[in-house]
Amino acid sequence: MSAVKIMIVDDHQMIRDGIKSFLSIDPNLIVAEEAASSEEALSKLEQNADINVVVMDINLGKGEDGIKTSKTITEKFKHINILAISMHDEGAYILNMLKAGAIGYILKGQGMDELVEAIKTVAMGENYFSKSVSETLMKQFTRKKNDSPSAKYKPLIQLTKREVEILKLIADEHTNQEIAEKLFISPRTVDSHRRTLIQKLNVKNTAGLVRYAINHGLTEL
Amino acid sequence: MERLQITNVLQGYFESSATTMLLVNHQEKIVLANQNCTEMFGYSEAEICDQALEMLITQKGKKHNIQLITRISEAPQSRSVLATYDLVGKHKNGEVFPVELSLSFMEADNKPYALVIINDISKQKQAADEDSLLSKIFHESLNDIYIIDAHSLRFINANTGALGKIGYSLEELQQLTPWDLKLDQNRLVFLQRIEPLLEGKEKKIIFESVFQRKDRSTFPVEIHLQLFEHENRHVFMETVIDITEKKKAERNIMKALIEGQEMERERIAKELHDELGQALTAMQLNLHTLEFLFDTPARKPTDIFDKLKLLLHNTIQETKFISRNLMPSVLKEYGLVKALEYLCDNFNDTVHLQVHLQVYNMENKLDSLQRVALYRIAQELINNACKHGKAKEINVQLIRNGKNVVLRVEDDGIGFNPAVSRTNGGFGLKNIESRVIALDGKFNIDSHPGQGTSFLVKIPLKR
Repeated sequence: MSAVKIMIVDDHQMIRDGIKSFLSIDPNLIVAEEAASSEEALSKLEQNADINVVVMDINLGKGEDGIKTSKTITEKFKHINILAISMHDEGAYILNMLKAGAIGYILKGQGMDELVEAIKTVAMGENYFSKSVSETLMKQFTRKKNDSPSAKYKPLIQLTKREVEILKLIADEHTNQEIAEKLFISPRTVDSHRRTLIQKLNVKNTAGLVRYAINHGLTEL
Repeated sequence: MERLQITNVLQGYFESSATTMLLVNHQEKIVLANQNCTEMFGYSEAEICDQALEMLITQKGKKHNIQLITRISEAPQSRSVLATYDLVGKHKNGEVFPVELSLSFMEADNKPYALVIINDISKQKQAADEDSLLSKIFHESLNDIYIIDAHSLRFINANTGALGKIGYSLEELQQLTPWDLKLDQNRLVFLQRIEPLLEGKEKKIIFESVFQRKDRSTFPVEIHLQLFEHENRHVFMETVIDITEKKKAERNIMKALIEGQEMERERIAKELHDELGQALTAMQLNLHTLEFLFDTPARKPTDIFDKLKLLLHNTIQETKFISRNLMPSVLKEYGLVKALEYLCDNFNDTVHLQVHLQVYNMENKLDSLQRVALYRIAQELINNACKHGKAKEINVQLIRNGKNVVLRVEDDGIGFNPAVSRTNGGFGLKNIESRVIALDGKFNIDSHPGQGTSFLVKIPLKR
C-alpha cells in the first residue's frame, strides 16, 4: 500500500505531538500537516494536495468546530477521507460528525491503539468505528424507528402500564375522582395522565381516548 | 336684670348637685349656674350670669346662636331633650372640650326656661375616637384581615383591603369558610392547622398558602392566624399578606443562584474535558508509542505497560464521567432530548434496569435554565428510583402540553411517603423543588409504600 498522507486537526499541541509520535511507528503513515484550528486546516489543505486523510477532533477551541470543518472539507475536497477522533461518545456528536462527512470515528482515551488501523481503513474509503461507537450508532437507529411520528394511531407499546390502566378506566366511564381512588393517586395526576394520553394518542378529547381504547380492545362495548 | 325667684331648697339642691347645671331663659341668657358649672368653665357666677349661653357652649363649626330654647319651644311635648349635635364647651382659658346637653323645659312666671345639664364627654369621646381609629386601622390596613368565628368557622368580617383583593362582597364572604379561599386546603387541613391555637399550644401560627379570588385567579400568601376571646366569644383573626412580589424576588434570587452554580459547573466540566482529558489522552498516545519502541519483546515490561494503560484508560473514563455529571456538553450543543437519550442509554448499559424515554411535541426550544433544570431533575429522579426505589423499570416522559413542558418520571419501585420525605428534604427533593420554583413551575409526587412512584414536573415555557 502506498503511504497515507495525513493532516491532524486538533487544538491541543500535546495531542498532535502524541499522534505524530505514535504514527511514526508505521512508515506508511506520514503526518504531512497539522492544524490547530478550522481556518488553519482549510488553508493548509488548499496548499497541500497530497493529503488524503484528515484526523479531526470535534472541539477545536476558537472558530468553527470539527463538525462544520468536516462538512466544508467534504464539499471542497472530495478525495479526502475524514477520521473523527474525539472525547465525545454521545450519539448526537457521532451522528452529526457522520452527517458532516466523516467515515470513521474513534474515541480519545479508549481506542488509541486502534488509531493506526483506523487511519488505514479510512484511507481506503471504508468505515471504521470503535466498538462503543458502533453500539451507540445501533441504538440511534433503533430509536429513530420508534420515534417516527405521523402514524395516526401510535402503537400501544408506547403507553406506560399506568397509562393503559387509566385509559381502560376512562373507557369504562370512570370519572377522574373514581380513577384516583382506584389507583391511589390524586385526581390531579389522573387529569394530567388524561391530557398526556390525548397528546400521545393524537386524539382531540376524551371521546377520542374511548374510541382508541375500543379500537385496541382495551374495553368491551 | 332678670332674677328668677327660686326657693332656698331648690337653690341648695342646685348648688350641691354633683351634676353641672345652669338655667337659661328664653333669650338664651344664663340666669343661674351652679358651682360645678363655674368650675367646669372657669368663670365666677357673676361672670356667667346674664351672658349668652353661647359664651360657654357652641355648636362645632357654627357661630350663630344654638337656639336651644327655640327648639324646645317648638316641640313642647319633649320636655326633656338630649342634645346630640356636636357641641363644645369653651373654658375661660380658651380650651374647648366636647359636651353633651340634657335639657328640661320649664315655665316660671309664664316665661319659658330651660334647665341645662352639661356633661363633659371628653373621655367617652376619646374612647369613641379610639374605636373609630381602630376601625379605620382595621379597614385601611394594607394587610388583608379576616375575622372568623371559631365555632362555626365562617367568616364574620373582613377589611376593605381583603374584600377588594379577593373580589367578594362581605355578604358573599360570610357564606364561605376559610378553606374555600385557600387553593391548597380543605376542611381537614384547616382543622389540623388551627389545632395548636385551640389547644393553647401556640399563640400565633404562620403558614404559606395560595388564595383564590372570586374570578378564580390565584396569588401566593403568608397567613398569620391568632385566636381571640372576648366575653366568651372566640374568633380567629387571619392576617393575610400577599407575597407575590416576595415570591418573585425569591424566585429571582434562586434563579440567579442556580444560574451561577450551573455556569461554574459548566466551566469546570469544560476544563476537565478539554484540558485534563486531553492531557491524559496525550499521555496515553505517548505510552503506546513508548511500548512500541521496546522492539525486543524479551526486555519489555509487559505487565507494567498493561497496568499503566489500564490506569490511564480508567482515569480518562472517570474524568469524562465527572465532567459529564457536572454538565453534559451534549445538553448545550444538541438540547435536552439528546442529553436525556444519552442519560437513559447510560443507565440501561450500566445498571440492571430498563429506562424508557418517550418524548412528544418537544420541537420547541427551551432556554438554557429550563434545559439544565429539566435535565438535572430527570437525572436526580432516575437516580432516586434506581438507588432508593429499587425500581426495575422507569418511564421518563417529556411532553409539551400547550404552554407547558411536563416531565414525568414513573417507576415500579418500593415507593415512599411523600409527606415525610418532603419535610425531611430527603431524596434531593429540596434541590428539585428549588429548581422548579426558579422556573415558576409545579411539582407533584404520587407515591405510596409498595406502589411505585410517579413524579410530575410542569414548567411554563414562557417566563
